[in-house]
Amino acid sequence: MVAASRPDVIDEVIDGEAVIVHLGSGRYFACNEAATALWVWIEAGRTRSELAAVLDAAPATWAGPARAVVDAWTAEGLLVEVPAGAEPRRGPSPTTGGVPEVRTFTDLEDLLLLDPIHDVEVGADGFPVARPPT
Amino acid sequence: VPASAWFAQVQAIAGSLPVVATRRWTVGGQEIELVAASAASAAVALDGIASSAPGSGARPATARWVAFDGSTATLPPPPFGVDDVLPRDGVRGFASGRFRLAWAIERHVLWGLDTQRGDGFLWMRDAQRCAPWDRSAPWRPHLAWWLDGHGAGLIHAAAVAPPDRPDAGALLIGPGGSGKSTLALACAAAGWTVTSDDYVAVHRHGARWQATAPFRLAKATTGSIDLLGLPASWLIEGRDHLGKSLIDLPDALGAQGAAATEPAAIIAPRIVTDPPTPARPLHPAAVTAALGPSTVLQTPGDAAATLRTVAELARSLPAWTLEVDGDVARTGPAALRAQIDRVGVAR
Repeated sequence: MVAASRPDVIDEVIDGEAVIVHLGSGRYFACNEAATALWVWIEAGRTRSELAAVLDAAPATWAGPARAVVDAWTAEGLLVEVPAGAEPRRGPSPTTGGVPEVRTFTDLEDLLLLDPIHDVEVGADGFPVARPPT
Repeated sequence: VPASAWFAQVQAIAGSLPVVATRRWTVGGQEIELVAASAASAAVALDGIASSAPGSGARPATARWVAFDGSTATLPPPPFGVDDVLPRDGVRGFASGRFRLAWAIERHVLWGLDTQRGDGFLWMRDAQRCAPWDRSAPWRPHLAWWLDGHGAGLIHAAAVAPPDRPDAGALLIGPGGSGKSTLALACAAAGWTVTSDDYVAVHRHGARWQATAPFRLAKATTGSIDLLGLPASWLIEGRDHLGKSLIDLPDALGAQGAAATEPAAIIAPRIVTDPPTPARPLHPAAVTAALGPSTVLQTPGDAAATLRTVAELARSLPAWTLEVDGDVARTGPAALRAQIDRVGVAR
């Protein structure tokens, strides 16, 4: 089953358009309404067979871009494999509307590069401290 | 040691220390009592906060945060280990929930807050080791944690308002280098109220939003000082970690520095060399994309809650782009005022 990578990924749908943020990479994504419908349909968890069935049944004009968007979300770490849920989920089909489009923003990646995870050791009082450079 | 027991130990230590200085902080609709247990910790934790608004203190404080340093007290071993250290001073297991912690492993600064009781502490092993931003923006983790839980938020935006209309202000948003701070300082030079040039606390105030200043200092590059012709008397001694000059807003602007404003619009300014194009409305999702990630990636609060606050703000305030030509000092405040007035007509 694929689902949004929580808690690294946060999202908010505003007037039909989703903004998704990956807190680990610093990248963020703005979805049009069609991509938002797809994200909302998939983010809480869908099986691979459910996803394949939707993509196979949809018109090629939608399925092609949708497949590319899902692949991009997977490559970006927004979607990950999770254990299968017990109950099948319901919800409107994500295939209504236009062609899914997602804009990717990378301008904040530097914020994370400025603050890397350091080489850490335990200090004398038990607090983690940065290991001195050798 | 369970988190609750560890917090109880630290709060007992903080409560036993002498009170060297106190300050009431009215920010984000909250009344917070700040306490310093040593002169060194007061210099870090109290000097950088914005003065409280007139009339503050009328309501009882709902939170009490104590600052102390290694010369006054040591702490018990922490309830987290080396594998729990996260970027942005985060600590795994303490980013959400009742007990929050942040730990700066280079500077040895620990922030802790019991979000249920409002009891917080800021411990620095050695106050001299604190970074300039620890002094210019103290309690930032606490503020983000506390406001997230009270329908408010600490957001990455400037807030300004025309001299005669503190109720018709603007939140200026945009990435670094877009002109947000430069336009805010141009407004300061033109006599506007400037709540903040970088981080601002926002909360619902009846049907409207109120923007309050968390911190006193604004920052200015050499380029914007020259461009705007800012008075040398505004600049205080010292620079930030990026080499920017510092301006103490209340000292420079008097009552209009770091004062509260009511934003009526969100404006994404851009300083351009070509003739400015007309302002364009921004979709709330575009506002959320412009404001949300830069806020959540620079503050250690509950990221999902912060993004929700940003989205709520974006839904409720009209938003526009605003291009300003290079003569920002002359044209910037006028262009912003004209756009705010248009918003007033549209509302």
